[in-house]
Amino acid sequence: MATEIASARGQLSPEARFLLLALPGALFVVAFLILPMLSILVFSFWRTESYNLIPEWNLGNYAILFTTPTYMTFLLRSVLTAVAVSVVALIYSWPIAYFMAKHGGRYRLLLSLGVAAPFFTGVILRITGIQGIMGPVGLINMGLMNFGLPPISFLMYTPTAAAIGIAYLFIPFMVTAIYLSLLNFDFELLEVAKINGAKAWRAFFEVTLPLNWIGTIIGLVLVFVPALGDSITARFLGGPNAASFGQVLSLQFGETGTWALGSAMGVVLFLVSSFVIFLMWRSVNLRRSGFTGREG
Amino acid sequence: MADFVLELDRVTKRFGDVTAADDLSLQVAQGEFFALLGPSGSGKTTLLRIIAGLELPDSGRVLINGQDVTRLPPYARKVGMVFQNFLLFPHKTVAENVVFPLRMQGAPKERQRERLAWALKLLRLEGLEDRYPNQLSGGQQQRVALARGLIARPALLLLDEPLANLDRELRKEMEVEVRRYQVELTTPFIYVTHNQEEALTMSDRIAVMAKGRFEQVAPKLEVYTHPTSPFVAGFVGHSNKMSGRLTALDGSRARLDWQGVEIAVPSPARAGVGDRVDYFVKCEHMVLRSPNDPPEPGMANRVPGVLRDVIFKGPTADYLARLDNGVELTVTDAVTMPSIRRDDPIHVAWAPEAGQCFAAAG
Amino acid sequence: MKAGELLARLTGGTLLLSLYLFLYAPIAYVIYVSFQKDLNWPFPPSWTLAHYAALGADQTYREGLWNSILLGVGSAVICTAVATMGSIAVLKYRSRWRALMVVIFLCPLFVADLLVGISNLLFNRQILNLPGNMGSAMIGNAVHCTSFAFLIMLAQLSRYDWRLDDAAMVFGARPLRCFFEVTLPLIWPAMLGAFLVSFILAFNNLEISFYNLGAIPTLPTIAWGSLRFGLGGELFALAALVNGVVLGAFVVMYLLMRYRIVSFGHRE
Repeated sequence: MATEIASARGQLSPEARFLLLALPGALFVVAFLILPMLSILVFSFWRTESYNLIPEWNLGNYAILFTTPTYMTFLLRSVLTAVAVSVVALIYSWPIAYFMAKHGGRYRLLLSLGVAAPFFTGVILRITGIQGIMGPVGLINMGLMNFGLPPISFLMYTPTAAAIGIAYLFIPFMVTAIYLSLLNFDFELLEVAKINGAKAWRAFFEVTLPLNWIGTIIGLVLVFVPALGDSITARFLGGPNAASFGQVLSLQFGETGTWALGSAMGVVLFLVSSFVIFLMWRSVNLRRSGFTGREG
Repeated sequence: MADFVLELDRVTKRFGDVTAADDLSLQVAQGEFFALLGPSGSGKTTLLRIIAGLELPDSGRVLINGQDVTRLPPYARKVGMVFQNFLLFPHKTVAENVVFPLRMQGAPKERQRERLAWALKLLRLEGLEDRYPNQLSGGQQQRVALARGLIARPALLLLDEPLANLDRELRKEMEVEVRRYQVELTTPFIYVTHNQEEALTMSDRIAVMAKGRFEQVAPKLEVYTHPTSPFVAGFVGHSNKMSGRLTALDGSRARLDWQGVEIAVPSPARAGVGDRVDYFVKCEHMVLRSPNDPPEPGMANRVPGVLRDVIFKGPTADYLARLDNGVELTVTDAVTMPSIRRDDPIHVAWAPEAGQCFAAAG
Repeated sequence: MKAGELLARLTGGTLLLSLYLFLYAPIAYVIYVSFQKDLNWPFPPSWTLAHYAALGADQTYREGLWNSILLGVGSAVICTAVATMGSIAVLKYRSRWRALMVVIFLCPLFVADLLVGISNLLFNRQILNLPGNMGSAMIGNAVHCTSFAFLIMLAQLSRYDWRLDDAAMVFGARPLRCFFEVTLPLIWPAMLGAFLVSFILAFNNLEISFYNLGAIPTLPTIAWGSLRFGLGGELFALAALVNGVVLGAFVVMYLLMRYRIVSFGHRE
C-alpha cells in the first residue's frame, strides 16, 4: 500500500524523502548517460554527409560493419585482447590480493594504497612510462642494443605490446576489487575446510572463490570494459597491425567525420560489453556468495 | 478536570500485511509511569515511534496536552526520548549532547547554561562535561541520554528499552534510579520493555501488548494478580498453564479434565461444558507437600506426583514436579523443604481461585 | 602441510613484488630520465634540469594545467553532491525504488569512457545544439565519476548509524539542521575521499574531455598531443612531476589514515 506524501505541515513520508534525495542524481545520470547512449543508438541508423548527420533511416552502417572484414577484425582483436588481458589479470591478481589480505598485516593499508596510486597519474603519463621502458627507444630495447643484442620485437608496436600496456593500466583495479572483497572474508573458514579434509586447492574452489566471487566479477568488469573500449594504448603501443576497435571508433569522430558509422560502432561496442557483463551477472548467485542480506 | 498529557485515539499502523498497531486508544496523565510491555514484534516500539513522530500512523490521532500532533514532525513536538543504544552524538561532548535540545529550540544562552547545570546535577554527571561518549561507561552514557531527554522539560519522556544494553547489576540500580527521576519530576514516562520484571518494578500502569493490540491496560498490581487474557496470564509472572475440557459448570466454579486429572477452576467466561479452556496458576500460588502432610485449608486442588528437581534461586526455590498424569508443574516456594528429595513422592496443591481460567482460542 | 603453505606464501609474495616492480619500474625510470640529458640511453647519468625548465616555459602546459584543475574541481563538486545525496537516500530510507536507484548510479561503470565521450558529444551537438565547452565536459566527467564517488560514499556511510538522525529530530532538529549538526560532521571524511577521487579521475581523463572540450586544452590532451611526436623531455618532466604529486598525496593520505587523524569519531 502506497504511503502518501502528507501535505499538512511539512511532514514528508520516507518514500518522498528518498525520492527527493535520490532523484536529482538519478535524473542526472539518465540525462547525461542513458539519453546520450540512446541517441547514438538512433544516430547509428542515420547517414553522415559532409560532417552532418542526416536523419535518413537505414541499416547501411551496420551493413558496413558486418560485411567489411576489416571492421570485424578490429572488433575480434579487441574482444580477444580484452578477454586475454582479463584472464591473465585474474590469474595474476588473485594470489597477490590474497597475499595482501591474508599476510599483509600492518602493511595492508600501505600495500593497497601503493597498488592504487599509479592509476591516479593518468593514462597518457602511464603510457609514457611504459613506452619509456618497453618502447623502441625505451630502457629494455636500448639496453639490449647497447650490449649488441637485437631488440625484442614483440615489445615494439605489436598487439602484444598493446595488451601489456592495457594490463599495466587496469590490473590495479582487479587487485583492489579482490582485495577489498577478501577483507570481509573470514579466513577461519579455510581452517574449517581443512579440518573437514579439504586440501588447499579444493578449499580455494569450494570456499574462498565462491565467497569472493562478487568481488572477482567486479574486478573482471573493471578490467574488461575499459580494455574492450581502449583506443589510446593500441594507438601508441600497438603498431599498424594492432589497431583496436576503440581506436577505429575514435577515428570516425576525428579525421573522417563519419558520425553515423561511429555511432553504430559505439552501439556494437556497448552491446558486446553488456553481453559479457550479463554473462558475468548470471554467474552470480547471491546466496552462494555468502550474502546473507541486510535489512530492507 | 485533569487533562491527559498523552492521548491516543484509535491509532492504527500497518507495514505490508503486518499490523503493528491495531486501533489503539490510550490516555496517560501527568505523574504516571506508564509501561508498554510485550514480546518483540508486539508493536510497542512502533507505538512509541508514532508518539515521537518518527512514524506516521495510517489512521487515528495522537494528542499531546490536548493538541493534535498526529501529523506534526518530531521536531515540532515537545517530547524527549531515550533510546536503547543511547544514540549519543559521538562527535559531541557530554555537555554538548545534553544541551542539544535547548539549542535546537533556540533557547537563550543563559537558560541553556542554567538548565545544563541542573541536568548534570540531577543525573550526577558533574565533572564529565568535556568527555566524549566513547570515554564513558555504559551507565554513564545512559545517564547522559536521560539528561538529554529531560533537559528541555518535555511534556513526555519516551524510553525505548533503555536498560537492555546494561549488565544485570547496573540494570537493577538504574531501575530504581529511573523511577526516582520520574517521581521527582512528575513528567509522564512512557517506557517500552519486553522485560516484565522491569515493568513491574518501575511502572504505575502497564499496557500488555501482543500483535499490535492491548491485551490489558491496568495498574501493575492488577495486571499481575488479575490478568484478563490468556496472553497476559502467561506472559506476566511465571505461571503454570493447564489445558483441558470443562466437565462441569456450577455457578462460579467449574471442573476441568486436565490430562486425566480432575481439578476445580473458577468458571471461565464464554465457555460451557465440553469446551476447551486454558487455566493459569502462578508458580508461587502453589505449594509442595509430602503425601503424609495434612491438606492445606482452602487448597481444594491436590495432585500427586514426584519431585524431579529443585532450582535454588536465593530467597526462593523452584520445585519441578512431574505429576502422575505425566505433566510437569513448577512450584515456587520458600526454601524450607529439605526433607523432600528428588524422586520422592509429593503432592502439589493450590486454591482454585488463585488462578485464572479462559476459554481456549480457536 | 607446512611446506605447501610456505610455497604458497612465497609465491604470493613474489608475485606481489613483481606487481610492484611492474607498476613502479616505469615510474622510477621516468623520474630518473627526466633529470638526464640523454633521453634514449641515460647511462652513465648526466644530470640536468633542462626538461623542467622547458616544461615551465611552455605556456600550453600551464594553460592545460589550469583547465584540468578547473575541470577536476567542477566535476568533483557535481559528483560528490550527487553521490552524497544518492547514498544517503539509499541507506537511510526504505523504498521500493532502492535497487533501481543503485543500478542507475552504478550504470556509468559499465560504459567505457570513450562511449561516454562520443555519446555526449553527439547528444549535445545534435539534440541540445550545444558546442562542446567546459560545462559539458564537467558534466560528462561527473557522470563517469559519480559511480566511483557513490561506491566510496556507500562503503563509508554504511557504518553510520542512521538512528542518530532520529534522535536529532526528536530533540528538535529539522532535517537540514540535522544534516549539518549530526550527519555532516561524521561523514565529511567520506565526502572528502569521494571528492578527491572524482577530482583526480576528471583531471586525468582523456576521452571524455577530448570529445567535449573542443579546442580547450587540458593537461592530458596536451600530453597526448606531445606523445604523438614521440617521447620528449618535457613529457618526462611532466610525468615525473605528476607522479611525484600523486605519490606525495598518497603518502599524506596514508599517514592520515594510519595515525587516525582522519577517522569517523564513531563506533568501530
